[in-house]
Amino acid sequence: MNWNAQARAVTVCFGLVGLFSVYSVRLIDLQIIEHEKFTALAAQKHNHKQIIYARRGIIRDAHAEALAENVPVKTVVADASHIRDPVALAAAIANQLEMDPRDIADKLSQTGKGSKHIVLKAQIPEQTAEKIKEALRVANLRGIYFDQDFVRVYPNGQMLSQVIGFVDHEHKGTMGIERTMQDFLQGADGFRYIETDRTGKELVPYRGQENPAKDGSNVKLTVDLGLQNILETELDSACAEFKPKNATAIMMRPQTGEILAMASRPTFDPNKPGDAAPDQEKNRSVVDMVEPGSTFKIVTTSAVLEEKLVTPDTTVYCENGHFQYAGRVLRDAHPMGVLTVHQVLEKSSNIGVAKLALQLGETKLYEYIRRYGFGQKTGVALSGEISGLVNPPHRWSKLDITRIPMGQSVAVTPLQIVTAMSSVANGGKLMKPMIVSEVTDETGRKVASFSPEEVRQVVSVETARKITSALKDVVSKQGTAQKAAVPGFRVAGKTGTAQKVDPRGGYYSGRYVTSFVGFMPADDPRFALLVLLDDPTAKQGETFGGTVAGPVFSRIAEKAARYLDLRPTEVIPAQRVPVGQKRVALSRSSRD
Amino acid sequence: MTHNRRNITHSIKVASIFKVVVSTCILSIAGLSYVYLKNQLQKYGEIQRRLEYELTEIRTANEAVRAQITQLSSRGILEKKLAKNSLGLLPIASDQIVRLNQRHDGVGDELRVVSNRGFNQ
Repeated sequence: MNWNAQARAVTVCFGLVGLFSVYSVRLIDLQIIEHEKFTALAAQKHNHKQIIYARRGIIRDAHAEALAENVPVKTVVADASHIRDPVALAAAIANQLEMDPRDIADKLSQTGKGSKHIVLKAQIPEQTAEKIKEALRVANLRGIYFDQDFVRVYPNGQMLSQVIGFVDHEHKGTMGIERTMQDFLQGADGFRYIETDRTGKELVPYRGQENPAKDGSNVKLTVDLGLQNILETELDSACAEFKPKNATAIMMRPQTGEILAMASRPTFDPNKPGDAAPDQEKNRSVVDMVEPGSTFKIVTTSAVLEEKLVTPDTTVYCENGHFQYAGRVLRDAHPMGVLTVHQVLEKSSNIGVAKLALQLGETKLYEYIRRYGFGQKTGVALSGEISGLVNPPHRWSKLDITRIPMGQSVAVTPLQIVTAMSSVANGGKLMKPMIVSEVTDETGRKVASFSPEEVRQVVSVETARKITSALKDVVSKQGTAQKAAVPGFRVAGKTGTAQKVDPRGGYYSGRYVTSFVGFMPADDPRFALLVLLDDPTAKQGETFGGTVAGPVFSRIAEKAARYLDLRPTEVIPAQRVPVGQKRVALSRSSRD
Repeated sequence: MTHNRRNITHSIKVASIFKVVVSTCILSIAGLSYVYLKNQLQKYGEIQRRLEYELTEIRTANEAVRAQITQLSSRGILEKKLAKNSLGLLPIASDQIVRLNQRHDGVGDELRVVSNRGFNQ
C-alpha cells in the first residue's frame, strides 16, 4: 500500500469515527443529558390522568321512592391535535349538537392545533352522543371525545323542593338536604394514569397508578311522599282560596320527632333553580320566624299546671274582655267573665293566659319557653335554620309578661311550634326533629343511622294529659277551631291568629298570621300537624286561625288518616254520595 | 508422526456447532416469544379496554334508564296520566269503609274455624 492509499484509508477511517462520534454524542445528549426533558415531553403528549367520576348519592323518601336522581350525560370535547379537517368534522356533528357548523369550525380553528381539550357542548344526552359517534364512524373522522358527566334531576318537580334543595354547576349542594348531607352524597372521584398512542387510543399494558372512584352514599329521609303529596295538594288549594303572602305546613310524628311532610309556599322547581326567586327557595319552616299568636298559650298554661300553681278547674276572671295592665289595655276577641284554666285554653282568652303568666312570674315563664325549645335551633338537618327570637327577662318591658303568653313579642320558627305541640302530644318529651333516617352506601350497607333523640322532659305526662284535654275541647263546638275537626277522630289542637308585625314598628291593622297546630288521634297521636298562612285574604271578620288554617288542617288530617289507615274512634256521619255515582262497600254488619 | 497427522485433521466440531445452533435457537425463540407475548399483551389490553368501555356504557345506559323509570313513575307524572286518562276513580267516603276486626293481642296462632257468617247479613 503506498502512502496515498494509506492516507486515504486513514482519512476515511477518521471521517467515519468522527461521524459516529457525532451520532454518539447526540445519542448521549438525547438519552442521558436531556433524558428528563424528553421523557417529560413524551409523557405530556401520551400520558394522561383520567378522572373516574363518582356517582352522587340518591335521596329517597321513607319508602325508598327516589327524590333526587342522577341522569348520565356527556360533555363533547375536541382534541385539535387529532383533527385533520375541522370543516368536515364540524359539518358531521353540527346537526346533532344543534349548533352552527361555522361556530364549531371557528372554535376548532381558533383554539389552535395543539389544544387537546376544547369543550364544544356540555350536558348532551347519551342518545345524542351515540348518534355523534355513529356519524364520525361513517365519515371516518376523529378528534371528538366524550367526557362522562351527570345532571341532578328531581323527579317530583316542585314537591318537597325546599327540603331537598339543589346542586350547583359543580354538583355541590347549595340548599336543603343536598347541602347538609353534602359530605355523604358527594362521594370521591377516582383517577387512573393512562398512556395513549398517537391516535389517542389507550395502551392498556402501560396503565399506571389507579384509584377507583367511591360513589356517594344514599340518603333516606323520614318524609313520606304520600303524606307530602296530601299536604302539598291541600296547601296549594288553601293558597288558591286565601291567597296568603306565604304558607307553611309541617307534619311530624310526635313520639320520635320524625318529619313526615314539610312544605312552604311560594315554591320552585329544583330542576330549574335559575328560574326561582330567592323568596321561593326559602324553606320557611326553618328560616322564617313569626309571632306565634295563641298557639303559644300552651307554654304558659302547661307551666302553671306543671308548677302546680293551678289546676284545670281553677277559675280566672277574664275582666269581660278589657284588662288594663302597665298603662295599656289587653283585650279578648270576645268578652269573657270567669273561666277555668281549661277554658282559658279552650276559648283562647288573652286576658286569662296573661293573668296565669303574672302568677307564674317572668323567670319561670322564660324557663318554660326555653324548655319547649323556643329561642334555640332545633338542630334538624336542614340548611339555614334560625333560632327565633326570645329575649331574656331582663330585656322585657313591663308589658311583655302579658304579651308573650299570647305569642306576641317573641318570634319562633314554624318547626319550633310543631315540635312544641308534639311534646304535648307525646306526654311531655321534647324530641329533636329528624328528617334523615339513614345513610347507606351503594351496596346498601349502613354508613350512618339516626335515631330519635329526646332533648328533655318539658312537662310531666300528667300535665301533658291535662293540656291535651283542653286542646281537645278547642276542636269542639265550644272551642275556637270547630272547623279543624275530622269526622271519626278526636283532634287536639290550638288556633293562632297573630297580628302581622310591621317592620317599621307596631302591627299592621287587619293583617294576620293565621295558624292551627294540633295532633290526631288526640289520645294516641300518629301525627302532629301545623298549618300556617301568612296574611291570608278572607272575608271581613273571618280571618282567624280556626276559620282559615283550621279547615286546611282538617282536610289534610282526614286524608292522612285514610292514607295511614287509622281506625276511626267515633261514628262517622253519613256523607252524601253525588248523584249518579255508586260506591261499593262491604256490609256494615262486619263493622266493629 | 501421529501427532502431526492429528494436527492437520479438519474435523467437524459437532458439539460447538450444536451449541451455536441451540444458543441461536434459544435466543431466537426468546426474541420471538418476547415479541409474541408483547403482541398478546397489546391484544388482550385492547380487549380489556373494549370490555371496560362496554361495561361503562352499559352501566351508564342502565343509570339513564333507571332515571327515566323514576321520572315516569313519579307522582306528578302518574297524577297527570290519571287525570288525562280520566279513569273515573273516586275515593270511597269514610263512612262507607268497613273495617274487619283485627286479631286481639294475646291471641296465639291456634287453629280457628273459618266462617263467613255475619258477612252477608
